[in-house]
Amino acid sequence: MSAPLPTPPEPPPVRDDEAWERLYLERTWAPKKGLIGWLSEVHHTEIGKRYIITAFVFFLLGGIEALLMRWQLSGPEKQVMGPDLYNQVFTMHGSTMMFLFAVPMMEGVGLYLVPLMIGTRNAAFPRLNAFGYWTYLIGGLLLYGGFLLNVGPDAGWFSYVPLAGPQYSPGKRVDIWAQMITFTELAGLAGAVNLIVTVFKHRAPGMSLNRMPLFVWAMLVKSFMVVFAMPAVMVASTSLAMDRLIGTHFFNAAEGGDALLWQHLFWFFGHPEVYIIFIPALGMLSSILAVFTRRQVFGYLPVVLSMVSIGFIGFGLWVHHMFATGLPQLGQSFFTAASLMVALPSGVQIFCWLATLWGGRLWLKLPLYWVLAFFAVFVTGGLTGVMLGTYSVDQQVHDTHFVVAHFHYVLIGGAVFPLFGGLYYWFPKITGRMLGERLGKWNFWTFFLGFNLTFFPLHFLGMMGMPRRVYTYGVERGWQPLNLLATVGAVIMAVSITLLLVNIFWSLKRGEVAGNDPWGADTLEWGTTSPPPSYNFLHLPTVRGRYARWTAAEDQPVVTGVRSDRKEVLVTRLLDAAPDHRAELPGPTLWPLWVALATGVMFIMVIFTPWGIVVGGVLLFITLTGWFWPRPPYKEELAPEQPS
Amino acid sequence: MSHATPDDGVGTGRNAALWAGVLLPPFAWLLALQVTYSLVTSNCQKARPALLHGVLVGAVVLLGLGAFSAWRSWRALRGRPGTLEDSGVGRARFMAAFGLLSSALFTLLLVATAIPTFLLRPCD
Ligand code: HEM
Repeated sequence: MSAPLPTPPEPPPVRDDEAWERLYLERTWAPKKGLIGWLSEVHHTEIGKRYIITAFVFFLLGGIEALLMRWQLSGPEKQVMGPDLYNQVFTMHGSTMMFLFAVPMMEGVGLYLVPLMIGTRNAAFPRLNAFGYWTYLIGGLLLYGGFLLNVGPDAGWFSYVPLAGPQYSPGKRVDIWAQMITFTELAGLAGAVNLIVTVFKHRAPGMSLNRMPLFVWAMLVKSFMVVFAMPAVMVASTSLAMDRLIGTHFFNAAEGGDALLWQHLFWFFGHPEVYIIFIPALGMLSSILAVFTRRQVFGYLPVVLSMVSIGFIGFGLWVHHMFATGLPQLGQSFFTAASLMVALPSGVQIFCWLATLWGGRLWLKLPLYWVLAFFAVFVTGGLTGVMLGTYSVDQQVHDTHFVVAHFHYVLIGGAVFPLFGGLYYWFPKITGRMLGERLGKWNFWTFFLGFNLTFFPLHFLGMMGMPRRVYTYGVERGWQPLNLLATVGAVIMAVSITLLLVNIFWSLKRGEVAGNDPWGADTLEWGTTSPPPSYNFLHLPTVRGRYARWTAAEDQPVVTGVRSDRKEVLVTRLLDAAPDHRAELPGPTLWPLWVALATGVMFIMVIFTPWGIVVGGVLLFITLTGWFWPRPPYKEELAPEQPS
Repeated sequence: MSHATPDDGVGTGRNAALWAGVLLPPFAWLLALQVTYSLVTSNCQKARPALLHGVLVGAVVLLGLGAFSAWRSWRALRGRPGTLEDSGVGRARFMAAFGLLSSALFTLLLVATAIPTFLLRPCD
């Protein structure tokens, strides 16, 4: 062969020289600069942060909508808004909180923390990660764009047909809702696939399945649930859009469709959805409990078992949302049975935590406050849940404010309390500074008080017959005092969230510097600087026990042989995380953004014309081709006989 | 696992048995729930109790298979060093124990699913 030999590669970095190593890593993993750099970011910490911040903004928006509703309901026959706007506002609130806040928030926290916790440098599919975020953002903007233009959806957060069908919901409101669902679920799937592969194949050597941190288990279970649940709702929302746009009859009983099919598809996703929100929260609770009781969580095996089995049982409960639809009794009783049985693993979980608390030396810091409050709130929500899971009770209070009280107790108790605990716990890792203690306590107590004041009275209002989703009530009902109380509670919660925001901004500037590990915690993310560098760890860690940092040896080995001058990571084996091979991860690029935009054009354009499929299809073809276009391999990797 | 290394501790066949112990019990229950529910709601006339019980027995067999593999793996690991917290053998033991406990839990769920089939008729 006459082709010139390629120039010899640069000598590999000197291994035992930390400064060199750091220099190489920094150069290899540094994000690009400027606006283009920002848009082409694919590192999991950055994407995770964006998810968290965006979801928090949506939480604030949903909160403002909640305040508006509480204001409207604070007295009989108030005129803050009319029925049409009220319909839009409760739909926006529910959809925002479920699809734009709770799920993406958990996803963001997982994407930020999991790769750090398992000791790797990035998520397994960095570009997919970026694509997921952009898709989610476009979906959220679509929903709020619609709302601002008075085409905000108004058929409730689960958009039942026939109400949401073409006959009773003309116009584009429901289409916007349906496409928002398609966007966010697509994003959810991207994140879930990413997390599953990262957890299965990128764990630090030694972190066998039975040594994974409980938080990582939680994220794994959650991601599997996403993979099985989200397709159902995407199929549903797409079919609904087709019914509305091109006259198919999936849900039109008059033409041989089936309105109940919608409910089945929706709740086949919707019930697991509750656990998709709740299971990551379980992971946060376990992380916090271990650190602030200074001991291992009692019963690792039963806790893992209960998370995994809740993941399965979660798919066998959906019909209990449909008890009022007149399905055959025998069919319903299967689901009553399962709904009562799911209390078993949940109970095991709670008792394991109580056993951890029992006899542990409690280090009463703010994260633990939120965890302790979680117990009180969530158990209340669980109790009313068992009541509602019973067919006869459900018949009685179905669609009243009793249900509103129940699901806010479980959702806020089960997700928001642990999330705020997690915020106080991981804020130092993410930002390098501690959140202020005093403001933190005010934040906690006002939230706890405000929450109970808002939602406890709703149980009684529900039993007195106050329906949900109705914009006002007559004076003669006698519902005013309790409603006013609930509204006062909501205002207190708003004050509390304001305090939290003040605390965050203040602490970002003035907060106490955290150092690597302010809590003496057990998981690997605390072994790197706060905030973590763009390459996560100077030396990729290894693990020899469940509580990685608590069980590490004095001279715990680190991974060597992974190149620092490339974006290389170590791929390990599924069961025992034994080293398998090295893989190189892709770097920053704009392609995921272009693909997300093309997806956006397609999904939004089809609201108005079926040609959206064609236009979007062409754009997607072009952008995906760009994304997947093979890049030439490194020159020195070509065998000498290959012409370069 | 196509190419188990010594780190996987217990070899290819054993890992398949461990997975069976972990995954079969929940699948057995979910399958039973799906099939019995579909039978009852799609056409209760056809869903005779004997048919429903047949489905449930099928699920019991599937679950039993899972439980049996978990138990066999647990037995096979007896006497080998490694706690539930170690990798390799310890991890295998962890999966076996997981399978046993999950069999117990999903047996309860199957029983709970079965009870109504004795109390109610399909078209009630
Ligand atoms: C922060 C304080 C919150 C307040 C004051 C609040 C208040 C309300 C109110 C007044 C309604 C409408 C009741 C009706 O007329 O039917 C509602 C509905 C709802 N809320 Fe909240 N909420 C809050 C937080 C949350 C959170 C954090 C979530 C979820 C994670 C959530 C999920 C929902 C859902 C799913 C609905 C049902 C919407 C529908 O009927 O379609 N809320 N909330």
